[in-house]
Parts: sequence; structure tokens; C-alpha cells
Amino acid sequence: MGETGGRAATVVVAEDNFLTSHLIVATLEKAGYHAEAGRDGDIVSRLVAKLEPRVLVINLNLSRPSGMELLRTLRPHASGMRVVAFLAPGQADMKPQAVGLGADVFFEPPFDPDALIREVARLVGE
Amino acid sequence: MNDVDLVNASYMLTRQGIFIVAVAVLVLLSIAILLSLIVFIHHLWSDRERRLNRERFEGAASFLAPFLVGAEGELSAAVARARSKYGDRAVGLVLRRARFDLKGEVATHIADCLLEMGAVDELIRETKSRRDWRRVGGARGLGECGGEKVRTVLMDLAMNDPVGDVRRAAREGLLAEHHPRATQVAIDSFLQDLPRRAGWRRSFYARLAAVASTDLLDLIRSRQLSSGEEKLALEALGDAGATDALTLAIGATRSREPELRATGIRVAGKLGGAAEFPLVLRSLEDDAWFVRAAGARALEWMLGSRRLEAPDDDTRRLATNLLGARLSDGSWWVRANAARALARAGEEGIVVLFAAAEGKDRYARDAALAALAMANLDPVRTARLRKIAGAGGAAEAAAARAAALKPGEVRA
Repeated sequence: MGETGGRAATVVVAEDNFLTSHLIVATLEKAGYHAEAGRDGDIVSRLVAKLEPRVLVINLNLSRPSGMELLRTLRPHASGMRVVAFLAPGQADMKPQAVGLGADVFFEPPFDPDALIREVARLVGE
Repeated sequence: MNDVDLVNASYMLTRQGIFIVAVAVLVLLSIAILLSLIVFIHHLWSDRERRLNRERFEGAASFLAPFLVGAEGELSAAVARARSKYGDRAVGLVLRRARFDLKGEVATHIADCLLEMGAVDELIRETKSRRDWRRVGGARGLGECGGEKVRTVLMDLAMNDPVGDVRRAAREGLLAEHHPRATQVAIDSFLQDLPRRAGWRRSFYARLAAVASTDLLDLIRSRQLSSGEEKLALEALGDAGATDALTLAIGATRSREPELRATGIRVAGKLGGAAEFPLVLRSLEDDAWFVRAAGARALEWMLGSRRLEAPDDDTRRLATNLLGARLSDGSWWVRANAARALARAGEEGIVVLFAAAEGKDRYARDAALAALAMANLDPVRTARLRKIAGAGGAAEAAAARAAALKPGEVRA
């Protein structure tokens, strides 16, 4: 798992919580993906431009800019990129707009690491 | 005493006075300098402590993360190594936060590690403190730890602690346990003293709906909740995607109370399928503006949902026509929600929005521009939108952009 065409698929993680971003990266690396995390919009934008990831895992509650705005900014530059969005419980109202901006799958904390791996594998077409 | 003596005595007294004042000023100055020094040193020391704590936490988090997700070997051995390197406090905090982030088998392992390293016992001691804030902290910490021993303590706190904040923290911890008895005690405690803030009550329903939607559904059916509480609970079930609540939501749409009808429509939009389209479309013509707004919001959900099959052509056309008419509604909420729903209605919806954006109705134009600014448009249409927004003036463009960038706020 984690390899497409002989090389590891790349995933960028946009998460400003230190521990959560490490947990997501460790989960993805465990499954064989090449994962890199950014804690703010500028770093994530640079990572997406540099690595052209197959999947973006994004916390929609990012601050400055908000996860939603970041998604809107990134979307035109990465049309083939699939998106896994993290929401806090009770924020389901954000889903339609996030779907409109290309979010494919939603997770709420606490998340099951195996479920995250399964969804990312499905999105990269494995 | 002659005049000279008087002058001399007065002079001596003045000198003495000046001396005393000078000494007093010096003493006060020394005290002030000493206090400033103490405050400065304390500030430096606490700043250093904070930095060190953060470094320890980040070090422990980086070290433990691969073990926490089961990528590398035994978690308890890794925890022992991390404790000797980063200290119990940092490791305990990392484990508690990780248990909040992760679910599945690993959550049980984390709870065992916390018990083993004595973090649970330390927090239990905190919950026995006479100071309220310590008991609140202890209850919150225990809620993050989990496990059987923790449940017993939290159940007692949730029912019997004299302070509301402690009971609330204990309830939240119990809900995170995903354990039937713990959930029941959390519900009993909640009903015993409903928190006065709606946000706290909403948060409780959201958590309960996420972990035990059947229990929340039973609570609504038991008629123990007031009408206002029933609405909050039903919304939470809709947000949690609890499809069992659909019948209840459809029942609410027939209520005479417009607020309950609006809640029913919103929840039906989140949980319903193709069969609920006519019901939601009818709500766009309700007398109450907030029911119409809820109908438009529900359609945004239904048209944008990947969970549902796309509606047939006739239904989509009808939805587009009704939503298009709502762009001229007297209520801002209805116009904004209708525009956002049209942005999800495919090609026909986008055509209606562009027509409104270029039309003469200023209110419809504002709503359409805000929705189009958030839509996923091709480059040609993006250029067309820029041209329209530019022609309307910088203020209009900024308003459209600002309105579009506040996703959480458009909720009616």
C-alpha cells in the first residue's frame, strides 16, 4: 500500500496542531506514503506547489487562513488532488461548501488510523 | 528661648525631616527595585519553564507518534523510554491528547499506559481537592485518560460534585468513553442540571449524537426535553448523520411551530434521500422566512451530497426554478442560502446565478456574486465573474468575497 507506479504516493498534511499532524504523518508513513506536514497556509501552499501531492489531508479549522479559504486557494492549482477534510464534531454544516471545493472524505476526531489509511488508499486508486 | 535658638531648632528639625524622608524614599526605592527584580526573574524563569515544557512535549510527541499509530513495536516500552527522556508530565500530556485524537484498539493501549505510569491516580487526587478549579482540571484530565477506574470516578463526579463546571467536565469525559453505563450517567447528570448556556447544551447533544445516537433519539421520544431542547437535539442527530432520526425530522416538518418545522427541514435535508425532495421543495414557499431559509439550506445539502443519487431532470429543474425565485426573497438569509444551493445545482444553477449577478435586482445580485465567488468555476467563467464584480465596484467585489469566506456563519 502507498505506492502507485513503483513510487510512494505523496500526501500533504495541513494541520496546525503539533501532535495531530505528527499522528497523521506517522499513520500515512506507516502505510508507505510519503507524507509532509505544514502548520500554516504559506507552508502548505509551498508544499503543494513543490510536491504536487495526490492527496491533501486538511483540518478545516486551520487558522490564518481558515482551512476553507486555503482549500479555495489551492484548488485551481491542483485540480487532480484528492482531499481528506478533518472537522470538529458539530461542524457538519461546513460539509456542502467543502464538497463544493473538492473535499472527498470527512473525518472527525477521534479518528481510526486504519480508516484513514483505507480512505487515502481508495482516493489514490489502490 | 530666643529667636536664634528657635531658628536653630527649626533648622535641625528640617534637616532631620529631610533625612527621614530621604531614608524612606531610599527604602521604598530599594523595595521597588527588589520587587521588580523578583518579578523580572520570575518572568524569565516561567518563560524558560514554558519553553522547556513545550520542547519536552514536542519531543515526546515526535518520539511517540509512530508508536501511537502502531507503526513501530510496543507502545509501553516506548512510553518507558520517553518518560526517562522527556519526563512524566510531557509524556502524560502527549498520551492524553493522543487518546483524544485516536480511536480503535490504540485508545485502550493508551489508557493502560496512563494507568501504569500513575497519571490516573494523580488526576484522581486532583478531583478530591477542595479547590474547584483543581477538581475541574482533574475531571478534564481523567476524561482524556479513559478506562474503568476513571469511569467510576467520573460517574461519581458527574452526579454528586457540588460545582457545575466539574459535573460538566465529568459528563464530557464519560461520553468520550463510548460505554453504555457511562453514557447513561452522563445523560442523567445532564437532565439533573441543564447547563444555562445554549452552546454547552448544543455541545453535549453533539457529543451524545456522535457516540450514542440511539440514546439521544430515545431521550427525544421520552418527552423529557422541552421543545427548544428537542430542536437542539434533533439538529445534533442531523449533524451526526443518524438516519434513524429521519422519521422524527419528517414529523417535525408538519408541526404548527415554525421553528420546529425549520429544524425538521434542515435535518431532513441532511439525512433524507430522493423521497424527501418534494417535502423540502415545498418548504421554499412557507410563510415563515426561516423555514424558507432552512429549505434552501437543506437543498444545498441534498444537491451537493455525494451520498444521494442525483435527482431526476424534472426535480432538478423544479428545484432550480424555485431557488431562482428565492433570490429575490425579502430575507437576506433566504437569498444567501438559495444562491449557495444554486451553486450546487450543476450547470442550470450556475446559469441562473450568472443571470442574477448580471440582473437589475441588487439584492439578488449580491447573493449570486457571493455564491459564485465560492463556486468551482472554469477559467472562462472566473474571468466573467471578475468582470461583473469589477463593474459593480470594488466595494461590491469585496462584499461578495467577504460573504463567501464565512462558511460557518450562513446558517438559518
